[in-house]
Amino acid sequence: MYKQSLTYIYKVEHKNFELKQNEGGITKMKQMFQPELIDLHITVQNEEELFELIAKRLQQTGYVNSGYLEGIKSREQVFPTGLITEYLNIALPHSDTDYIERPFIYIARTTKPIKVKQMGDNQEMEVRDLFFLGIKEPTKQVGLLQELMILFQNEAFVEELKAISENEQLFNLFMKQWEEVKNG
Amino acid sequence: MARKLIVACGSGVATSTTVAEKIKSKFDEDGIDYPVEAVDYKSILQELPSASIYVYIAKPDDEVLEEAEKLGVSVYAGVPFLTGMGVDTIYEGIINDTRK
Repeated sequence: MYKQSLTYIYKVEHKNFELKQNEGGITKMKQMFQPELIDLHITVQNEEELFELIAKRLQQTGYVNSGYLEGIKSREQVFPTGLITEYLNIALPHSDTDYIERPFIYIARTTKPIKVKQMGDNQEMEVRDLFFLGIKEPTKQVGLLQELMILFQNEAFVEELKAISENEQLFNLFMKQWEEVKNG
Repeated sequence: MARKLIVACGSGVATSTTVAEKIKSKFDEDGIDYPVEAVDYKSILQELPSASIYVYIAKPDDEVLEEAEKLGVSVYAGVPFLTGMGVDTIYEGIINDTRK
Protein backbone atom coordinates (compact mmCIF):
# COMPACT_ATOMS: atom_id res chain seq x y z
CA MET A 1 0.00 0.00 0.00
CA TYR A 2 2.71 2.41 1.05
CA LYS A 3 4.78 1.43 -1.96
CA GLN A 4 1.85 1.93 -4.26
CA SER A 5 1.22 5.45 -3.09
CA LEU A 6 4.87 6.32 -3.52
CA THR A 7 4.74 5.08 -7.07
CA TYR A 8 1.62 7.12 -7.56
CA ILE A 9 3.26 10.25 -6.20
CA TYR A 10 6.24 9.64 -8.43
CA LYS A 11 3.99 9.25 -11.46
CA VAL A 12 2.09 12.44 -10.72
CA GLU A 13 5.31 14.36 -10.13
CA HIS A 14 6.79 12.95 -13.26
CA LYS A 15 3.73 13.88 -15.26
CA ASN A 16 3.89 17.43 -13.88
CA PHE A 17 7.53 17.60 -14.80
CA GLU A 18 6.79 16.44 -18.32
CA LEU A 19 4.01 18.97 -18.66
CA LYS A 20 6.29 21.76 -17.48
CA GLN A 21 8.98 20.70 -19.89
CA ASN A 22 6.46 20.55 -22.66
CA GLU A 23 5.20 24.01 -21.78
CA GLY A 24 8.73 25.44 -21.85
CA GLY A 25 9.29 23.81 -25.21
CA ILE A 26 6.15 25.30 -26.66
CA THR A 27 7.00 28.78 -25.37
CA LYS A 28 10.41 28.47 -27.03
CA MET A 29 8.79 27.19 -30.18
CA LYS A 30 6.30 30.06 -30.23
CA GLN A 31 9.18 32.52 -30.10
CA MET A 32 10.52 31.08 -33.34
CA PHE A 33 7.45 32.39 -35.16
CA GLN A 34 7.46 36.09 -35.96
CA PRO A 35 5.06 38.07 -38.15
CA GLU A 36 8.00 39.46 -40.13
CA LEU A 37 9.15 35.91 -40.84
CA ILE A 38 6.10 35.14 -42.91
CA ASP A 39 5.66 36.03 -46.56
CA LEU A 40 2.74 34.49 -48.42
CA HIS A 41 3.25 36.39 -51.67
CA ILE A 42 6.62 35.49 -53.11
CA THR A 43 7.19 35.52 -56.83
CA VAL A 44 10.23 33.53 -57.86
CA GLN A 45 11.06 31.30 -60.80
CA ASN A 46 12.63 28.46 -58.89
CA GLU A 47 13.97 27.07 -55.65
CA GLU A 48 17.35 28.74 -56.05
CA GLU A 49 15.83 32.22 -56.38
CA LEU A 50 13.67 31.56 -53.35
CA PHE A 51 16.64 30.40 -51.26
CA GLU A 52 18.60 33.51 -52.26
CA LEU A 53 15.74 35.80 -51.28
CA ILE A 54 15.03 34.15 -47.93
CA ALA A 55 18.72 33.86 -47.04
CA LYS A 56 19.19 37.57 -47.74
CA ARG A 57 16.26 38.52 -45.52
CA LEU A 58 17.34 36.21 -42.71
CA GLN A 59 20.88 37.48 -42.82
CA GLN A 60 19.76 41.13 -42.76
CA THR A 61 17.68 40.48 -39.65
CA GLY A 62 20.48 38.58 -37.90
CA TYR A 63 18.94 35.12 -37.84
CA VAL A 64 21.66 33.48 -39.95
CA ASN A 65 25.26 34.13 -40.92
CA SER A 66 26.83 34.47 -44.33
CA GLY A 67 27.30 30.70 -44.77
CA TYR A 68 23.57 29.99 -44.60
CA LEU A 69 22.69 30.31 -48.29
CA GLU A 70 25.40 27.89 -49.34
CA GLY A 71 24.39 25.73 -46.36
CA ILE A 72 20.76 25.22 -47.42
CA LYS A 73 21.58 25.01 -51.11
CA SER A 74 24.12 22.25 -50.73
CA ARG A 75 22.17 20.38 -48.10
CA GLU A 76 18.93 20.45 -50.08
CA GLN A 77 20.77 19.05 -53.08
CA VAL A 78 22.02 16.00 -51.22
CA PHE A 79 19.22 15.68 -48.65
CA PRO A 80 16.06 17.26 -50.07
CA THR A 81 13.17 18.14 -47.75
CA GLY A 82 10.01 18.09 -49.87
CA LEU A 83 7.12 16.20 -48.26
CA ILE A 84 3.83 15.11 -49.74
CA THR A 85 1.44 15.12 -46.82
CA GLU A 86 -2.19 14.13 -47.08
CA TYR A 87 -3.59 17.65 -47.53
CA LEU A 88 -0.61 19.77 -48.58
CA ASN A 89 2.77 19.56 -50.29
CA ILE A 90 5.44 21.21 -48.19
CA ALA A 91 9.20 21.57 -47.97
CA LEU A 92 11.29 22.12 -44.85
CA PRO A 93 14.64 23.51 -45.98
CA HIS A 94 17.19 23.59 -43.18
CA SER A 95 20.94 23.89 -42.81
CA ASP A 96 23.50 22.63 -40.36
CA THR A 97 23.38 24.41 -37.01
CA ASP A 98 26.63 26.33 -37.68
CA TYR A 99 24.88 28.85 -39.90
CA ILE A 100 22.08 29.68 -37.49
CA GLU A 101 22.50 32.68 -35.19
CA ARG A 102 19.03 32.71 -33.63
CA PRO A 103 16.43 29.95 -33.95
CA PHE A 104 13.55 30.76 -36.32
CA ILE A 105 10.95 29.43 -38.67
CA TYR A 106 10.38 31.33 -41.90
CA ILE A 107 7.12 30.61 -43.70
CA ALA A 108 7.18 31.25 -47.45
CA ARG A 109 4.42 30.76 -49.99
CA THR A 110 5.21 31.20 -53.66
CA THR A 111 2.66 32.60 -56.10
CA LYS A 112 3.47 29.77 -58.52
CA PRO A 113 4.46 26.20 -57.63
CA ILE A 114 8.19 25.54 -57.70
CA LYS A 115 9.98 22.24 -58.18
CA VAL A 116 11.74 20.60 -55.25
CA LYS A 117 12.77 17.05 -54.45
CA GLN A 118 11.14 14.72 -52.01
CA MET A 119 12.75 13.67 -48.78
CA GLY A 120 13.52 9.96 -48.71
CA ASP A 121 13.39 9.16 -52.42
CA ASN A 122 14.62 12.36 -54.14
CA GLN A 123 11.67 12.31 -56.61
CA GLU A 124 10.66 15.63 -58.12
CA MET A 125 7.54 17.30 -56.75
CA GLU A 126 5.87 20.72 -56.77
CA VAL A 127 5.38 22.91 -53.77
CA ARG A 128 4.19 26.37 -52.81
CA ASP A 129 4.41 26.23 -49.02
CA LEU A 130 7.93 26.13 -47.62
CA PHE A 131 8.88 26.24 -43.96
CA PHE A 132 12.52 27.18 -43.43
CA LEU A 133 13.63 25.70 -40.12
CA GLY A 134 16.41 27.51 -38.28
CA ILE A 135 17.47 24.93 -35.75
CA LYS A 136 20.35 25.85 -33.48
CA GLU A 137 20.01 23.31 -30.69
CA PRO A 138 18.60 20.08 -32.12
CA THR A 139 17.79 18.51 -28.74
CA LYS A 140 15.79 21.55 -27.62
CA GLN A 141 14.07 22.26 -30.90
CA VAL A 142 13.14 18.77 -31.94
CA GLY A 143 9.62 19.37 -30.64
CA LEU A 144 9.05 21.97 -33.34
CA LEU A 145 9.15 19.55 -36.24
CA GLN A 146 7.10 17.04 -34.31
CA GLU A 147 4.36 19.57 -33.59
CA LEU A 148 4.44 20.87 -37.16
CA MET A 149 4.02 17.39 -38.59
CA ILE A 150 1.07 16.75 -36.27
CA LEU A 151 -0.49 19.98 -37.55
CA PHE A 152 -0.02 19.04 -41.19
CA GLN A 153 -1.99 15.87 -40.55
CA ASN A 154 -4.86 17.92 -39.18
CA GLU A 155 -7.23 18.58 -42.07
CA ALA A 156 -9.07 21.48 -40.43
CA PHE A 157 -5.80 23.25 -39.70
CA VAL A 158 -4.43 22.75 -43.21
CA GLU A 159 -7.67 24.01 -44.78
CA GLU A 160 -7.45 27.11 -42.64
CA LEU A 161 -3.79 27.57 -43.51
CA LYS A 162 -4.51 27.28 -47.23
CA ALA A 163 -7.38 29.78 -47.07
CA ILE A 164 -5.26 32.45 -45.37
CA SER A 165 -3.55 34.98 -47.62
CA GLU A 166 -2.46 37.60 -45.08
CA ASN A 167 0.84 37.15 -43.26
CA GLU A 168 -0.48 38.45 -39.96
CA GLN A 169 -3.45 36.09 -40.09
CA LEU A 170 -1.21 33.10 -40.55
CA PHE A 171 0.90 34.23 -37.61
CA ASN A 172 -2.24 34.43 -35.48
CA LEU A 173 -3.35 30.99 -36.62
CA PHE A 174 -0.09 29.46 -35.41
CA MET A 175 -0.22 31.36 -32.12
CA LYS A 176 -3.75 30.17 -31.50
CA GLN A 177 -2.68 26.65 -32.36
CA TRP A 178 0.25 26.62 -29.91
CA GLU A 179 -1.98 27.93 -27.14
CA GLU A 180 -4.27 24.99 -27.76
CA VAL A 181 -1.36 22.56 -27.71
CA LYS A 182 -0.12 24.11 -24.46
CA ASN A 183 -3.49 23.90 -22.79
CA GLY A 184 -4.04 20.39 -24.09
CA MET B 1 23.04 -10.25 -34.00
CA ALA B 2 22.95 -6.56 -33.10
CA ARG B 3 19.73 -5.33 -31.62
CA LYS B 4 19.21 -1.65 -32.37
CA LEU B 5 17.03 0.50 -34.61
CA ILE B 6 18.81 3.43 -36.21
CA VAL B 7 17.22 6.39 -38.01
CA ALA B 8 19.48 8.34 -40.38
CA CYS B 9 18.95 11.76 -41.95
CA GLY B 10 21.20 14.32 -43.58
CA SER B 11 22.74 15.78 -40.47
CA GLY B 12 20.92 14.32 -37.52
CA VAL B 13 19.62 17.86 -36.91
CA ALA B 14 15.90 17.57 -37.15
CA THR B 15 14.19 14.85 -39.09
CA SER B 16 15.96 11.76 -37.81
CA THR B 17 15.54 12.89 -34.21
CA THR B 18 11.86 13.55 -34.81
CA VAL B 19 11.31 10.17 -36.44
CA ALA B 20 13.35 8.42 -33.73
CA GLU B 21 11.22 10.07 -31.04
CA LYS B 22 8.09 9.08 -32.89
CA ILE B 23 9.18 5.44 -33.10
CA LYS B 24 10.27 5.47 -29.44
CA SER B 25 6.88 6.69 -28.30
CA LYS B 26 5.09 4.12 -30.45
CA PHE B 27 7.31 1.41 -28.94
CA ASP B 28 6.48 2.71 -25.46
CA GLU B 29 2.77 2.61 -26.20
CA ASP B 30 3.05 -0.95 -27.46
CA GLY B 31 5.31 -2.07 -24.64
CA ILE B 32 8.24 -2.81 -26.94
CA ASP B 33 11.62 -2.51 -25.30
CA TYR B 34 14.06 -1.85 -28.12
CA PRO B 35 16.91 0.64 -28.48
CA VAL B 36 16.31 3.47 -30.97
CA GLU B 37 18.95 5.97 -32.05
CA ALA B 38 19.13 8.91 -34.50
CA VAL B 39 22.35 8.95 -36.50
CA ASP B 40 24.01 11.05 -39.16
CA TYR B 41 23.79 9.64 -42.68
CA LYS B 42 27.45 10.50 -43.23
CA SER B 43 28.42 7.86 -40.68
CA ILE B 44 25.86 5.25 -41.78
CA LEU B 45 28.43 2.68 -42.93
CA GLN B 46 30.05 2.69 -39.48
CA GLU B 47 26.64 2.50 -37.79
CA LEU B 48 25.16 -0.39 -39.79
CA PRO B 49 27.16 -3.22 -38.18
CA SER B 50 25.74 -2.36 -34.76
CA ALA B 51 22.16 -2.13 -36.04
CA SER B 52 19.40 -4.61 -36.82
CA ILE B 53 16.86 -2.17 -38.29
CA TYR B 54 17.72 0.85 -40.44
CA VAL B 55 15.07 3.53 -40.99
CA TYR B 56 16.15 5.97 -43.67
CA ILE B 57 15.18 9.61 -44.14
CA ALA B 58 18.05 10.46 -46.45
CA LYS B 59 17.82 8.29 -49.57
CA PRO B 60 20.43 5.55 -49.09
CA ASP B 61 22.82 5.01 -51.99
CA ASP B 62 23.43 1.55 -53.46
CA GLU B 63 26.58 0.94 -51.49
CA VAL B 64 24.70 1.47 -48.23
CA LEU B 65 21.83 -0.78 -49.29
CA GLU B 66 24.23 -3.54 -50.31
CA GLU B 67 26.03 -3.28 -47.00
CA ALA B 68 22.72 -3.46 -45.11
CA GLU B 69 21.74 -6.57 -47.06
CA LYS B 70 25.09 -8.21 -46.41
CA LEU B 71 24.76 -7.54 -42.69
CA GLY B 72 21.13 -8.69 -42.62
CA VAL B 73 19.87 -5.28 -41.49
CA SER B 74 16.21 -4.62 -42.39
CA VAL B 75 15.63 -1.33 -44.21
CA TYR B 76 12.50 0.83 -43.92
CA ALA B 77 11.44 4.26 -45.22
CA GLY B 78 11.19 6.82 -42.42
CA VAL B 79 9.33 9.63 -44.20
CA PRO B 80 5.89 8.07 -43.50
CA PHE B 81 6.54 8.65 -39.79
CA LEU B 82 6.65 12.38 -40.61
CA THR B 83 3.74 12.60 -43.02
CA GLY B 84 1.59 9.90 -41.46
CA MET B 85 0.95 8.44 -44.91
CA GLY B 86 1.41 4.68 -45.11
CA VAL B 87 2.91 4.55 -41.65
CA ASP B 88 0.90 1.56 -40.38
CA THR B 89 2.31 -0.93 -42.87
CA ILE B 90 5.86 0.19 -42.21
CA TYR B 91 5.44 0.16 -38.46
CA GLU B 92 4.01 -3.35 -38.62
CA GLY B 93 7.09 -4.53 -40.49
CA ILE B 94 9.34 -2.90 -37.92
CA ILE B 95 7.48 -4.56 -35.04
CA ASN B 96 7.92 -7.96 -36.69
CA ASP B 97 11.62 -7.28 -36.98
CA THR B 98 11.94 -6.35 -33.32
CA ARG B 99 10.65 -9.83 -32.47
CA LYS B 100 13.34 -11.58 -34.48
